[in-house]
Amino acid sequence: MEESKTPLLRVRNLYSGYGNLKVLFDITMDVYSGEVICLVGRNGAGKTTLFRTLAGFLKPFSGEILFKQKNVVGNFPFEIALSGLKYVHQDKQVFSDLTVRENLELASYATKDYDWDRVFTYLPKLKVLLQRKAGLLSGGEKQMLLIAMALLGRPSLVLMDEPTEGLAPHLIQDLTQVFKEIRKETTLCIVEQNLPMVTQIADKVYSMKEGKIVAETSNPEEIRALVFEKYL
Amino acid sequence: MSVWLSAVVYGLSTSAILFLVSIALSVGYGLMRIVNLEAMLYYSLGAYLTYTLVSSTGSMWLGALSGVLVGAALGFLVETQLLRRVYGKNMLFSMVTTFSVYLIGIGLIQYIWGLNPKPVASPTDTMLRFWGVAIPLYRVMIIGIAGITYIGFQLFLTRTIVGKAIRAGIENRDHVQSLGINIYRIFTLTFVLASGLAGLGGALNAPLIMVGPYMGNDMLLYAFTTVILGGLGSLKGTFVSALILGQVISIGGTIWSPLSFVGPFFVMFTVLIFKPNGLFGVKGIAFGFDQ
Amino acid sequence: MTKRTYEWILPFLFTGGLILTRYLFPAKMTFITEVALYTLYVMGNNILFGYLGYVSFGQPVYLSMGAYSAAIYLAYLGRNPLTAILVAILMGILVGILMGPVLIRLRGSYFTLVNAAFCAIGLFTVERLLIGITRGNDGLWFRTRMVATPLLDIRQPKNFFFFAMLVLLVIFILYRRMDRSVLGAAFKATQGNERRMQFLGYDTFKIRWLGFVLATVLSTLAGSLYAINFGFVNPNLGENSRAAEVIVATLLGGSGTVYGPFFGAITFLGIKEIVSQWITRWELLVGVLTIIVLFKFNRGVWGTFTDLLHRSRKTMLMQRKTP
Ligand SMILES: Nc1ncnc2c1ncn2[C@@H]1O[C@H](COP(=O)(O)OP(=O)(O)OP(=O)(O)O)[C@@H](O)[C@H]1O
Ligand SMILES: [Mg+2]
Repeated sequence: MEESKTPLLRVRNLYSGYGNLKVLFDITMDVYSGEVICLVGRNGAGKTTLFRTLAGFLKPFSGEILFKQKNVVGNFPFEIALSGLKYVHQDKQVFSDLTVRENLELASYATKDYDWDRVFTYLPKLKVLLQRKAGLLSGGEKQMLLIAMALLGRPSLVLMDEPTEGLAPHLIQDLTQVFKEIRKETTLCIVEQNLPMVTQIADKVYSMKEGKIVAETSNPEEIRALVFEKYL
Repeated sequence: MSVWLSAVVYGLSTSAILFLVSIALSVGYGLMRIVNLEAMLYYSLGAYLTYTLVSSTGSMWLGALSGVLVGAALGFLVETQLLRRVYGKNMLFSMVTTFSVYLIGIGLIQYIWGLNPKPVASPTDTMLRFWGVAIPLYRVMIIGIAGITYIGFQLFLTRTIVGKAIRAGIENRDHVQSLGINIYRIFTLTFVLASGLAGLGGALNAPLIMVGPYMGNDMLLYAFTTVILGGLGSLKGTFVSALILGQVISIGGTIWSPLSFVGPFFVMFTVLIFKPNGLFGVKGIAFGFDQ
Repeated sequence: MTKRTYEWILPFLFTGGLILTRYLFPAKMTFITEVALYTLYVMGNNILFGYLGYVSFGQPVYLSMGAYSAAIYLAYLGRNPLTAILVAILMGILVGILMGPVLIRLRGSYFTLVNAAFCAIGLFTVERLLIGITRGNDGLWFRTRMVATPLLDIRQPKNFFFFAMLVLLVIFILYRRMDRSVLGAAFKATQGNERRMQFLGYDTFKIRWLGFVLATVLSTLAGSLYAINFGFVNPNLGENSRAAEVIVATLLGGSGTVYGPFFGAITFLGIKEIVSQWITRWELLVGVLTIIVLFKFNRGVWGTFTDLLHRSRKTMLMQRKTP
């Protein structure tokens, strides 16, 4: 229980946005090693903005972000990625002009982690797709590739922005299983709207509304209620 | 017949210069999302250095080499000192900044070399004969050098990991960063390469034109036309459009001399009406200012 | 003095200032006339650059178009300079309406570059293509063909000076009205958040089109005044290499403000006047100036001044509140 005292990611009073536009207000959250956190909230609640700020793409107006007890505000996105905080963007964009193999090569080149077999144990389907142009992959396969690329470098924390968006139900089920496996290796923070998935994997849920965190719970019953609320 | 054959070869050599100089603009848009106007400065400097070295040592190739080196070195300085501050900002910033650098460079060129245009002797006056048509060897050499450069660049982009990172960056810079790749180092490398090639373009063009302080202005327009016609951000587009425009300039000029000047613009306007993103343009990039 | 009257007085104050300067330094009359004409030209570019967020590397072509339509009218068709100005304005409206939809559709760098190409074509047209009419690089002379205008014979440089001041005053007042009206706000809003404007039901395309027409008309107006002032035109006015100057002047004065172009014109032409005593080519200077302004001084002369004014007014109010 010692390590749970200091969070892996500690966010305090974070304000962020685009140019003059304020989007996030006073965000405070903690992510502990080994947890799976889900973030829920309606369209435009500011979930992506939060992730982009954590990953270094947006400079916060104020507040602090400590990752592994180090302040990462002002660091370049690539520095944050190399320090072990990987971010999978919402748009599901792979490098469509490159093959799957080349996509993975780039991720390995960046992190010097060439242990692809480890990644294939979670995502065996990728193995047969290596020669395929990434642009020709299906939505589910693209998501698999993005997850694989994020896992290279053995990150301590992976932020995933709506990984199930636009996927068929059976694929979501597959992805849920994948996440259950991955969590043995890394901490996960996922923006997710899919109720079955959230209830199966989340240890803690944050609910966002209009740029603020309005609820936080670890109780399965309350989690269910929170996710439902989003649809009402 | 003979007129047309030599027109095609002249057109190809024009395409070669256009291509070498336009790469800087093309990758500037494609990778860094900036308008890289000061490549025209390296183009002019390449030509002037060739002038100086040809008159002092008699060696055109020494001139070309120094053009490449000086272009690359200045490109390194400008990228790391100035352009770092404009990445991610509105494109007009980079446009105005790089144009200012270009203007400063023109000012310095005038101080060093004066206002009068300089002639540069061609390294060889040998004529090749194809089917009875005399073609200057030098033009063929230019075509060869540009061809080798294109192949080399393509190999670099498709076979090396850094080249792949550049292609990935053209598609999505943010994702490249999210992998943990230092995109700024990739920017610097690309910029230095492209600046060197612009210098090479200027050096190779020097014996074909009069080397004057404003040679960059004319080239700027043609290079832009090339890049816009090909589609911002597409290297293949730049290559194809340089090929097309070289022939428009050369064959068009053979038919009616004013066409060599305005032909490229009319081709560009016509294509833009039907394809507002150019021949191989990527949709997102056309609306450049909003990223 | 309330804020309203203070704002109403400014156009009169600035033109009055120019007239006063002309009497204090009689030798500088041509310079002051040029300031007025250049201000109009910069105002046009300011609509594109400051309000709409378009960079054009082809503004000289519109200036040249105005100058040549006035010149061609005066050299071949009529003799009244006022009609010539009207012809140039109509030309501006026409070109703006016809070219607008094509150019406005091209965003970002495409707009910039296509304008640059357009400028090159314009230069080529007056230099070579229509050489029979425009006399190419010899220039088109028409000074002796102009007839006296009623009330004020603007063929005389002394009178032309007052005429230029009058035009400047009128345009100042109209420009200020534009800035304060819905239109000015709409221009800036299309630059900032086009989507939102569309949701609110504005036709942003038409707004930008109108802005383009206004910018073009101001340039052609300035061009025609240049032509009449000199009594001849030549292709130099429309050279591509001068495209940067008007952008620098816009930046120097403070882009997106009503009086920025005026101060930009004074500062730019002033520096050029002083420096040209030592060097004949000022590319170096233009380049250095732009970089400094862009990175260190991006509100420009007038922008910085109004910022200071706002700040001092705020502190004054604060002091009044705290006894
Ligand atoms: N690039 C941007 N510039 C300006 N405002 C933006 C930008 N991106 C997002 N916003 C605004 O920020 C707010 C939050 O957007 P964000 O993308 O973070 O929401 P989200 O919770 O991720 O929504 P979704 O579920 O649709 O992905 C929205 O009001 C949006 O309009
Ligand atoms: Mg989102």
